[in-house]
Amino acid sequence: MASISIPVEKRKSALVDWLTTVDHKKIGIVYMGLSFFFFIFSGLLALAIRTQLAAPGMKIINQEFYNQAFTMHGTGMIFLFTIPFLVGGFGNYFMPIQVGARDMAFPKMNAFSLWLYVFAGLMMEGGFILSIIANATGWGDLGLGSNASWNAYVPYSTRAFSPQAGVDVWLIGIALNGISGTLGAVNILVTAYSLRAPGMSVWRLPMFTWALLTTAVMVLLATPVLTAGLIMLTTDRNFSTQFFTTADPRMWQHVFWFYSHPAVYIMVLPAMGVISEILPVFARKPIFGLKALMISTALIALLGFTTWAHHMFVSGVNPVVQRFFMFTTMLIAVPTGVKIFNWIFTLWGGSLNMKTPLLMSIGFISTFTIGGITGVFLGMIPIDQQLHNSYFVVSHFHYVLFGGSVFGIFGGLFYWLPKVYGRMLNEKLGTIQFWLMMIGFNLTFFPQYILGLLGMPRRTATYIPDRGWDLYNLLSSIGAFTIAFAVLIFIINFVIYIVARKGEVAGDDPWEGNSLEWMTPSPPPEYNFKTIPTVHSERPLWDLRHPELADSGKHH
Amino acid sequence: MDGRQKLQPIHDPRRKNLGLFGAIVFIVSESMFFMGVFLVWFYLRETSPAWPPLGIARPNIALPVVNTVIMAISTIAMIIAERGVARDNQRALINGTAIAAATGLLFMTVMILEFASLGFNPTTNAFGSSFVMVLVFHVLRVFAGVVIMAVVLVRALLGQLNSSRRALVQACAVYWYFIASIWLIVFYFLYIKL
Amino acid sequence: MLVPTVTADAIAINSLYSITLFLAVVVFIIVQGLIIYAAVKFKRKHADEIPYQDHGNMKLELFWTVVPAFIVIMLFFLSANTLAQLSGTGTTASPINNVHKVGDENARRRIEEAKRTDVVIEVDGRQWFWQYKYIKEGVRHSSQDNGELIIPEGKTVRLDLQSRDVLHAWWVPSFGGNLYVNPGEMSYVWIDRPPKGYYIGQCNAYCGLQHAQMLSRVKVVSQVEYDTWVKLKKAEQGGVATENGDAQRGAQIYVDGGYKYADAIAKGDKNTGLQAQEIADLSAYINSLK
Repeated sequence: MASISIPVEKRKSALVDWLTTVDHKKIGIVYMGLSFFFFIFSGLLALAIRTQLAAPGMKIINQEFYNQAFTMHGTGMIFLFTIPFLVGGFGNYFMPIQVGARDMAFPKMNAFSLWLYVFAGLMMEGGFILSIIANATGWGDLGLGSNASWNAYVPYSTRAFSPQAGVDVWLIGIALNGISGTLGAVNILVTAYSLRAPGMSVWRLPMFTWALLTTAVMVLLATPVLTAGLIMLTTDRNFSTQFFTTADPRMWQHVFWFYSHPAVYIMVLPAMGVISEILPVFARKPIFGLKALMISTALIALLGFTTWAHHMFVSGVNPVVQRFFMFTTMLIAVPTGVKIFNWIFTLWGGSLNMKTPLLMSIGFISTFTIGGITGVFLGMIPIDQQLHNSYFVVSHFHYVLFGGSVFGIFGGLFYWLPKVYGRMLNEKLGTIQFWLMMIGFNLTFFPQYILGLLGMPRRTATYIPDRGWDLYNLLSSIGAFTIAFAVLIFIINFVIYIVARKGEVAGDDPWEGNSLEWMTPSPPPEYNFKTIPTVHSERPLWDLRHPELADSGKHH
Repeated sequence: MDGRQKLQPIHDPRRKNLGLFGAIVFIVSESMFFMGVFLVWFYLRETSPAWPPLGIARPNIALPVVNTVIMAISTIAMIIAERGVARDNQRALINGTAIAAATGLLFMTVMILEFASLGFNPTTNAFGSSFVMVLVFHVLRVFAGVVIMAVVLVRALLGQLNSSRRALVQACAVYWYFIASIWLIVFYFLYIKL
Repeated sequence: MLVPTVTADAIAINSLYSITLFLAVVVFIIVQGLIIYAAVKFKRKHADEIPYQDHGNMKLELFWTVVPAFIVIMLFFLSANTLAQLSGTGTTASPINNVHKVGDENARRRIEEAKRTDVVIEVDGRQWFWQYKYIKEGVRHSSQDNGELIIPEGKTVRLDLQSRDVLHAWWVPSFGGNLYVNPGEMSYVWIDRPPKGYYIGQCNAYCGLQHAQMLSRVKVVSQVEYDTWVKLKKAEQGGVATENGDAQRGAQIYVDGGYKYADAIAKGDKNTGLQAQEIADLSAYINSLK
């Protein structure tokens, strides 16, 4: 029997080591670190936006910068933070361990994806940051920021109306980032399918891995379509091709939303996976209706591809087609509802260990529910005709993407960082952060529902008084700073208890986890497992801890 | 311990075809890319009063027919190479890959002639843009395929490929079949069904 | 919705919204109630507590699949029903698209037959204002400098919108519904018998630098005031200066028979006896109404 030897560690400088690593865990850490930086940066842009909108007629930032700020806030949060953090960060680090693999299927391609993401991120944000610096120091306008808004609707995004190079840099950045994501998805799919530990059937995949697998399928099917569109828009702008100059303006919208609606699920499904990991561990109970949860995840992904044109109910799409998309959009509420109730009943009758990961997960369920319900409103054509592009929409998707994904990410960080660094984050600070975030989040975004109902459109740099909007905008701005404070507390927590190593030693399994990552030391060695464990149920570690109550044998 | 530990090796049949599986998954994403490209083609076609627009001559079918034949030869050569490596027939592998790569290059050359002979260019109008862009996107894949074949060829000449180490050949072959099928679709919609 | 809903369209949308909101609040209370109850009730009591290992319950899961499915399908049919009530949407079996390419005569005819219309106004969306052209009345106006779209109360007004540059969207929340305005296409919005009042809307498709300033102020006035305004506007466009008028003096002229004067001016009658300054005063008064 041949055996594999672990190479003796060659002495490389830390920098060279990080730059050349193909280890999925190190790649995951770089993803998490960089995308968290983009989270902070895009968050600062949100603060600039909220400061400007705190009162009517404010001129704290100029309108051109405002337009760039909301464009870069949105695309930064979506393309450079949420997706890379969940898929590239958590996905890379934990999925291979969860399935009992020693690395991703294609480690070199994994490193390539990472550095392509870094390059794309620098392209998108670097030019913008340089422009800000140039403006602040009086060098003049470099025009390297995009103001085309995240959907870059034509004809505004064509050269005739947006001549600045910033839009080109931004388009190419998004396209490269998409290619990075697509290659990452290939890697995830092959890893999660082919490198599973013995005994780990598809139905025994941990929920996070299952969600990530579903997400990878979505990335794989959706992203290339956008990439094609982005290339065409770029050649239109730079080489005078004529795709979007004379075409029906809805063509770009179809291409864009064919990707960008599934993108919402790409951002939220992995976060759903994270909390589906956390809930059973902290309730000491199996997840309620595992198969229903897995199937509903897949159904959301499938239906997610049939709903894109609900973003176009006021664009002049054929009305029969609109009704079809209304139907599919409303149907997607059903599997989403299944998930919410299954999560709640995972808590029901459990023994809840009220630690920060669980708090964040409960916060997720609570806020995401509101986002989901308001999604039904927007799926109904007559209501969407009224509320399209209003602050109601802004609030809706923040309830899904902040209330969902970001709460899920923080839950995941408190849950998994002890595994990554071997130290626990501080619980007290975590609890304070949770409550500040919960209050700040609702204070920011609930008033925005009211603003939408009062007729306030999104993407407006300022507004006139006497429309009844002032108070709600002020509340929203106060909320935004509360969120910022909560995030600051997290950073302090991280610096003191993990970077300065003041936290308690985590040990292999601080939470009594269920999945294989808790079988390895914290942090795991480069090869993860000396011996690949054999799996007999969906909770392999529970079985080890409680052989008398083991899932295997009496279940399935 | 001397700094070396023994890791238990993994024996799992699923691991054998990682490269091939990866290539197939990648091809799925490539298909979606072409779906996006064709989405634009059909959208423009359906929303235009005339397709091709008035005043644009229908492109001549001669060169694309030649290219279809070239693609067919290339595909057969690739099949021979793939079967060759499965049977440890190094000559079939090397010759097959070489012919497939050479015909791939020939395909690209003919395509350049085709671009020169078109009576329109990508800046003429939406028709010109989408027509040329479909061809460009395809021919870029042909180029990528030829590059992969060059790698296969080098490794075959170095004797690194055989029936138990042929994932690269399989991946290369399945990608090449994919490119050939896309060519048929392109040929059908851009020339025959125009 | 939290804005006054003044047209039949806005009222129809609002009642659908209210039904949905009611259901949403019920679902919200149930879900949040369950979450809070579970979080409080099932806190871990001691470190070794092992709860019952419940893997799921088919009946319960079916219940919360079927009931929401029933609710959303019901909402789907309610929406389709509301949609058919809105202006110019046709029937469910044969819906009308309220956007079509410029020059598509068939689509245009369907729009014209879709709803009886009293006033047709062509609206051009531009970066960053709206230009209004009253077809029958032959009057032009714009939203620049806080310009208002003046329409008569109780009449059905159709806006034939078109963009001259990028995408814009017409949205006056109180009238219900918004619609994109595309270059090269016609978009149609109906304002169905609005009551007198002052309504503000805003361009609702991001259109660049001054998107936030692209307001659509709408003033719904009485028929008499509307006619007077049209005539004054005609006079103004016929080359008679109406700026720098004094509203108070204008009011007096109006009381003395401004409607008659205005009519004469519109006919191009130079012998109304009114001076240019008096026309300007009259105009200022009309503009100051409401």
